[in-house]
Amino acid sequence: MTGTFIAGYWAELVRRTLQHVVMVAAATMLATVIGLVLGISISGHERAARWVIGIASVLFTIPSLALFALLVVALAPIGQGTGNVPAVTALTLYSILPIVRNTWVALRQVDPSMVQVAQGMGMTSRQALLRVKLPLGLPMIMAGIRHAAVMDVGMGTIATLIGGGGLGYFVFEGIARADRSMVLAGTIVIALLGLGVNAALLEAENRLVPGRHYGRRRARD
Amino acid sequence: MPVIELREVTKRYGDKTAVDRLTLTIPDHAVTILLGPSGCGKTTTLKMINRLIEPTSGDIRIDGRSIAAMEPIALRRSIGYVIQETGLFPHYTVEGNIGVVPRLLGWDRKRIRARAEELLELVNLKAVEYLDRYPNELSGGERQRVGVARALAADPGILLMDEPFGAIDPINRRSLQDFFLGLQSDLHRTVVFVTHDIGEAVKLGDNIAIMRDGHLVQMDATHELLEHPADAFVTELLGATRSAEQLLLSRAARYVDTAFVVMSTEQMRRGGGSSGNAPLIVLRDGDTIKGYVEQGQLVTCDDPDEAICAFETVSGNGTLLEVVRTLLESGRKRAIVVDPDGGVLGTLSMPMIVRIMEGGLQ
Repeated sequence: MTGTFIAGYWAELVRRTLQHVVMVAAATMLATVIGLVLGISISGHERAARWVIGIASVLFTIPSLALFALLVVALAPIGQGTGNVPAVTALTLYSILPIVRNTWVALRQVDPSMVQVAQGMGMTSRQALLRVKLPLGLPMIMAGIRHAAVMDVGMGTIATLIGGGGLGYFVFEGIARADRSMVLAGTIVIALLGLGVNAALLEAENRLVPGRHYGRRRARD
Repeated sequence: MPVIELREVTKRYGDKTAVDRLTLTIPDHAVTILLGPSGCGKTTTLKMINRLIEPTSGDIRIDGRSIAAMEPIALRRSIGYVIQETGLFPHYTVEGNIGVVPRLLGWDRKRIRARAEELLELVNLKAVEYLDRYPNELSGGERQRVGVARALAADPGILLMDEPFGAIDPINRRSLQDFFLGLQSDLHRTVVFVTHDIGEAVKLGDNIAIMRDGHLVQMDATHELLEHPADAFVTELLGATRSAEQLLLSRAARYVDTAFVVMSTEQMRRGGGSSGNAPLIVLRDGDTIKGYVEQGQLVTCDDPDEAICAFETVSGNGTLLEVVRTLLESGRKRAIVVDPDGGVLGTLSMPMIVRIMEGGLQ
């Protein structure tokens, strides 16, 4: 039954999947930039770190439906109350926490002797950050980004309620029409998209740091 | 090559004094060991030399120039730095690790690669095999060799080594120490070496500075220190070292009998031997050592060739214990001690070693 549905709505499915991907990609990229900048700038500043992570955690606890609704109200005065802008904004706000938190923890966890040896060899603090701390913290930072992206794929479902498009349409329209196969088709595609995004980011991570799995093997023995 | 002078150097953390008015001159071309129990301030002292730690007061000079007036980044790039085996960057290959300082100095790729190959050869690792490996694909000993190669990359005059062989098992540590001595006898860097292992200090150090509670207790040439400990603390610290076993682990080169002359077999046959004053003649034709002759026997023999004694050669970087073992196993009377280039440093015999031990154990 679901198969028949997918065959019938093929073109619509592809169009909405692309919408969903663009929305998630935009939010994840924005959140990565903001999260990295915040995570790096609070590293080594305990007080600032507590504040930033505290605020991000509060954002994270707002129920998603409520956040979407709040943004509709907040962005209405600039004529962006519905559509892509509030959807991407909401997803970005949610994604900042896992990325900023993982970046902060990743930089803290780098073996202090590595940092000391980098300094001792004459690296500036910027060079030590770019050449040593970030590469060594990369697996954890990437885990934060993956977490955010996969979460966005799921949460992006709600975007359809504020005119943001995406695969949520099938879920909510299916519920409205009591069409089980429509709901199921939407859900399956969303789940597959989540798995795909996770796999793609893992692959990107492996290419980014060729020596990474050596580091892992070492950590085990 | 630089001399490092510390004048009245003090480092305080709050009301705890880590280093207290330390005045010390570290001579050039030599290995100076900073030795003492943990918490004595030796690592703090080392890190003040490359300004990883800034002294609270006092002055450190390299070749007469105060390092406080130097740019710390440039200073550190001009000094080699080796720490325990974890010091290699796990995300860089061997080549990447060796190239860290050269890259900071803006060398081009080709030059870095050539330098990495040259240095791997220097530390006895095959360049083709090792350049592209990651640190965790190396054994502990190999990692440490790469660590030393990395510190030498930009050809620094000074090497700071912070317990570099501390995390390595005793057998490999011994071979790394031998390797380091061989390297140093070619390179003659000014080395400051922190350790708490007294055996290591005695084996590697030309000079030893003993520290306690941030103070310098005694700084002397190694044999001076063993023979004339300044106070009860030093005597106790060296206690084990001055015992027979530890003494036997010190370098053979330091104790050799240098009363000898070198000549060719031909010169000796022509009667050259009898004209010399040295009690011993070492015979060498070209690069090959042929044996040795004792002056006394030369007079009593009709044919000079009959006076030539068989011998064993041992490396000057080897320990007295190795000399003893060689002599006992071969049954020879004397060992000829040579440097890595084949030059004759002197000779050692069992009676001499017994005398050395008697002296050292008093």
